[in-house]
Amino acid sequence: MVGMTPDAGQRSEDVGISLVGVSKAFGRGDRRTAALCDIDLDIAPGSFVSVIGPSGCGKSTLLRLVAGLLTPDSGTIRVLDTSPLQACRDKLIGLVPQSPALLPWRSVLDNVRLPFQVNRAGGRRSSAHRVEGATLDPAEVLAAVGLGEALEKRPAELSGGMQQRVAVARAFAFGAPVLLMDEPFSALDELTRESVRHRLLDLWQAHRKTVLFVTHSVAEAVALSDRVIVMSSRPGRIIADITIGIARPRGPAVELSEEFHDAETQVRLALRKGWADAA
Amino acid sequence: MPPELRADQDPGSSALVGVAPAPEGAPGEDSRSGPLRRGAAVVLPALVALVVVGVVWQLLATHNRYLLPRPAATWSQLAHHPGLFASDARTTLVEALLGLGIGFVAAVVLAVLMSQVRVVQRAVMPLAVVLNVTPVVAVAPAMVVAFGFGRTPKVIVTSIIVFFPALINALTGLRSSDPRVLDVMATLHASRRETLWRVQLPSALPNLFAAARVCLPLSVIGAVVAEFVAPGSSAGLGTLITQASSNNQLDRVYAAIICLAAMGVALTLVIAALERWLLAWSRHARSDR
Ligand SMILES: Nc1ncnc2c1ncn2[C@@H]1O[C@H](COP(=O)(O)OP(=O)(O)O)[C@@H](O)[C@H]1O
Ligand SMILES: [Mg+2]
Repeated sequence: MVGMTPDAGQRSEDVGISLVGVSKAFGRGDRRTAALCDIDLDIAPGSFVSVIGPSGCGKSTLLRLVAGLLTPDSGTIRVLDTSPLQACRDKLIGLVPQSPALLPWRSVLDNVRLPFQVNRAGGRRSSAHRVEGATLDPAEVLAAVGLGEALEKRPAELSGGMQQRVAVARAFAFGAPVLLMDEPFSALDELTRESVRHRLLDLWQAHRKTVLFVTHSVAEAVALSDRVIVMSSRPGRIIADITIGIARPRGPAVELSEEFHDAETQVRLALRKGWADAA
Repeated sequence: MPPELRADQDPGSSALVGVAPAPEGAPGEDSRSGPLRRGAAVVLPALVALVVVGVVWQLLATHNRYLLPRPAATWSQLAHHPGLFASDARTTLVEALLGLGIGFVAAVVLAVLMSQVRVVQRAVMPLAVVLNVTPVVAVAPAMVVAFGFGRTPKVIVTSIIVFFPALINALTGLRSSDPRVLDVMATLHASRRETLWRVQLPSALPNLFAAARVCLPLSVIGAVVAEFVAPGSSAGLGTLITQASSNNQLDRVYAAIICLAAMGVALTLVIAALERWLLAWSRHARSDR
């Protein structure tokens, strides 16, 4: 990190997302299942971090904890040096859920405008944080993800890939410096997935945000991320933290390179080791 | 004219039975036949059925004039006393619509409260269920005793009849919001009111229209039944029916029934048109799934 001095460790510029000793269980008594166990994770501001692991290992739980949609049983979570709830209050978090979750009665453009329209006070407070993430023009963001022609369409008139791009634009445009994405592309076919991934990469490279990206696609994780966090299940814990050194900006060509394949292999091996340990 | 109001889609019959019309371009829409032929194909069976009913009616009536009045006699009642039927129909319509409006709005407001506050839900739900299983017809005489022969008891009976189906549908609708959209709203720290207005109420619209389609005929029933049990009242199609049947004027009774049916059809068509206009997005969404 550039310009970091030992005594500056707690300033907000240095904390993107941090989890310390976070555990979460669901249910009570016999039904109690530990979803996450003692998670420590530090994500530098402006970096893109993917979380990958078998289904049921607690990826969504992790994301929902950071989004303030769940509270941890123990441990602390900080988002830009505030609590998740305060981060929501200040509109610091853009969520992209697993389904596009668009409002079907609104046009594409009005869907992207939604975050601007609710909790206006929060928007004003968030600019006081002076973090990366000025508000962007919804129409421009939509154009950047290739939907410039579809502004006035209804979500139902769009393909699944286009809908998911609208959801990405919605989380991007209103200026939240933190993006949380829960398997946003998992419902798309392989080719659509790849093109949406490239759009996201372009957008993110133009406007650096702190991204926590949940996926179960190794290629997706490697193509997008600075770091890939590998999790194992029951209870969910982090078993590997792999830094992806591929230079940025990355284009589609990167995915054919030797470097890319090596990184993919590294992630795959870590995942397999997780299965082997569980079996 | 927006595409969803195209006349050749047979808005009438599908709306009347409360069935969602087929999405555009659905199978069954024969591209070879022109709109005229398609129109004929839709209208003709209904027309034939109508003629059959008319013939059977005529046959029954000529055989036994105490069973049914002749269609011609019924028609001449309508033709010779248009003012009488119009004014009674207006009375009943006003009672039905007032009752519908009050019952419906009360149900939606309560449903919103119940969806926001758990305690209200726990408190109200049992009462609403009891109200639902109580035959409201039995309440009608008591309403007349309490409120006299005017409009009030009829409006009250109607709103009680309408209330429960409206409440249940509104609750279902308010709960039908996409939980992932609610997650997005939560991370934006949207207030309850913002979430209600921008997400929950619009999501509930399809259910509210379903409720309206159920409640409309119920409201006419409510008004007529209330008129039945208030024998001293002087107006309304229900009153007209009671008086005419005690005078053995079967033709007048059936003329009034035809007025009620026409009223029901007209109201249902209004709701269907509103729904088509307001819920174009919903039909798109449905055909997408
Ligand atoms: N609301 C909940 N209630 C009970 N159990 C839950 C709930 N949410 C998640 N779980 C459990 O926690 C574990 C992790 O779930 P999740 O975070 O959704 O996994 P992933 O997203 O990695 O597939 C699973 O075993 C799941 O059954
Ligand atoms: Mg998940």
